[in-house]
Amino acid sequence: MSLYFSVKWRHTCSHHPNPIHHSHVLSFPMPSLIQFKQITKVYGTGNTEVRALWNVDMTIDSGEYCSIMGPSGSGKSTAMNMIGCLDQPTSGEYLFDGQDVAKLPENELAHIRNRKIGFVFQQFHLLSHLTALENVEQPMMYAGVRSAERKRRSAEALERVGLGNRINNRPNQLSGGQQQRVAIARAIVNKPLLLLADEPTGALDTQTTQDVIDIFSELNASGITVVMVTHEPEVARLTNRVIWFRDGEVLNPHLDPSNLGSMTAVPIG
Amino acid sequence: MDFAESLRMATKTLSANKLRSGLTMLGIIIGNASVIAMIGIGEGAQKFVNAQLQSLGPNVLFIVPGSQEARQLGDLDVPRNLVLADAEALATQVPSISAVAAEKTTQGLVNYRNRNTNTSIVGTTEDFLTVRSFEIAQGRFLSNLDQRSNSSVVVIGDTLADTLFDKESPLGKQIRIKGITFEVIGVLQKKGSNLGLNYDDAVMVSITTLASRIVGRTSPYGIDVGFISISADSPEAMETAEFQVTNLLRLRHGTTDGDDFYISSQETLLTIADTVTGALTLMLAAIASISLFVGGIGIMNIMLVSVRERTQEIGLRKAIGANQKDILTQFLIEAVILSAIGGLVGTAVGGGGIFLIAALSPFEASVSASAVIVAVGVSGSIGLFFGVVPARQAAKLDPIVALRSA
Repeated sequence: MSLYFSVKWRHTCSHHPNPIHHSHVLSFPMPSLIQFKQITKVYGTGNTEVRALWNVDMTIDSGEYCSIMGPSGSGKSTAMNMIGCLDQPTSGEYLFDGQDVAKLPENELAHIRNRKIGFVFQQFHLLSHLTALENVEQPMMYAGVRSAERKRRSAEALERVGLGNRINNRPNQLSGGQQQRVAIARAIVNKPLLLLADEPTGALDTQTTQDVIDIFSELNASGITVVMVTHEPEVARLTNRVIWFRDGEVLNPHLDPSNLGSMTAVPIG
Repeated sequence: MDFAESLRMATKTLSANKLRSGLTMLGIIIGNASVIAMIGIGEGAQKFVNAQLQSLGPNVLFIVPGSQEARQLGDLDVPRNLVLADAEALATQVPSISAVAAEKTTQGLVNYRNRNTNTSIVGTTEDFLTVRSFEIAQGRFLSNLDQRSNSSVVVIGDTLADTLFDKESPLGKQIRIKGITFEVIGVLQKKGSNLGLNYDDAVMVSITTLASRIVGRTSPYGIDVGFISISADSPEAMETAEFQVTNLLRLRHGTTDGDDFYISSQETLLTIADTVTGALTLMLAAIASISLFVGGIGIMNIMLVSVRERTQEIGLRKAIGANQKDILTQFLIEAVILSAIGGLVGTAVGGGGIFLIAALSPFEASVSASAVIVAVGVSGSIGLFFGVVPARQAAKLDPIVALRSA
């Protein structure tokens, strides 16, 4: 899969509503889903100015399965927020699914997050007073899906993550791994283009980590682009590509995950 | 998200934290209950006073000595008294009136054998029954003959008859008023207290008898009276009667500027009473609405705490696609539900309070539909008003910051 292809090609094809459908055209390069062009994010001003990201160029194609790594303060979290349309750059251009979202108003960003992006967080962020099914229904409520349809799709999504028999349990009746799977079901229920996971296994033990990663691999195989921020090499090793951040810049945009094999901990510097 | 969906979601959230929701509502419940109860009490008092005034009769005029101005200023100059001769002159010379009664009241000890009571002694004339719409239960009332002959006969009220005679028949019995013996010739039918005068507990004698045997003459112009009540021919004749009475009394008293008497009718009394009770109701409602306002602030307070506490939820909702309007609506609906339910419960509590008060006091229960609609509407709007600040705060939260807050 090529990371670099002509600008002209992107402009002609990236407006297609669902580039994943092109994945069977093997001879053709995949359209890029995420493209950072000279993205800079600065917090504060003057003496307190912090450059979280500095002129970052980065491309992630549709259907990719990659992880973002880097030491703390490297800008990887900022980059993730930016990718997830939760944050906007100070300068630069960010093409998401062919659309420049760097200057979009907040409501449109909310719409993109709702329809095209699924989030998975380290702390799961489930609503404690709702059942698993109701939690999974939430994104569809903002998408205006009718109740019956919501219930059907939620049950389906929970089935897909192996929780078909726990749909009426509340989060406190589920284990950490099960809660994270509910969160994944919630992330995929609106059929997003991108699954964005922020330290998804940070609160899980080895076995459940493996379960969650297996689900990610499966979802990726079905065509969803999966991007995760992690500091665990053994998790990142299971993805196809690692983007390495340091000091607000991309140090290595396509690190081979197998190179992480010799590492026992996150390399600093 | 559509409205019904938001409503369902808000109910779910509120019922997930029942204690807090209940306590938040309590402020509104108390506020609303007090508004409803206060308005109800005010209206009840108004009806009570109006009923009392109505019972005076629609075509009765009261003539009271002293000018209105002198009374209002608390003038200590004794005005020229109204005398019995004035009442007699009105009866014979004013064409538009049908009956005239003069009254003079004093207090004194009344006893029958070993039972005694201190009560009102009312001196009056034969037309008292007609003008004041009283009826005789037993025996007869005082007559013009009794008046001319200063006869020692009395008519007693129903309650007084019970006090002095218990089960005995009072007719023909001798009672003593301030040590002087009188014969009971009649008993009045029970009527209840009226504008602070309770004739049920009074003993009535001829006004001439009162003046000559009980109090003695006090006025150099004749037998003075407390007030004269007259009955006009019809409600329509009231204005004419008032005009004619005024003219005659001016002539008799020789006054040109500044009357030394004051005429009031049921209508003027009603107007005054309405003004007074209306102001009272307004004042009570104003005081009560302060508690409604405080209840609203309570809602704002709790909602602000709730926004703080649910920062992560708000962050998550934004991440999964809620826009500012969705979050704003969610929190506003929660505030409005709290205050609307609080308003309804408060109205029920206030209504119950009114019926309790009505059961324990002479006021009648009165909860007008308009008061209920206004109170519930106002408390709903209070929720909306005080919900805006917390809801806006929630809507404006940065999702990244909100998600990171632990």
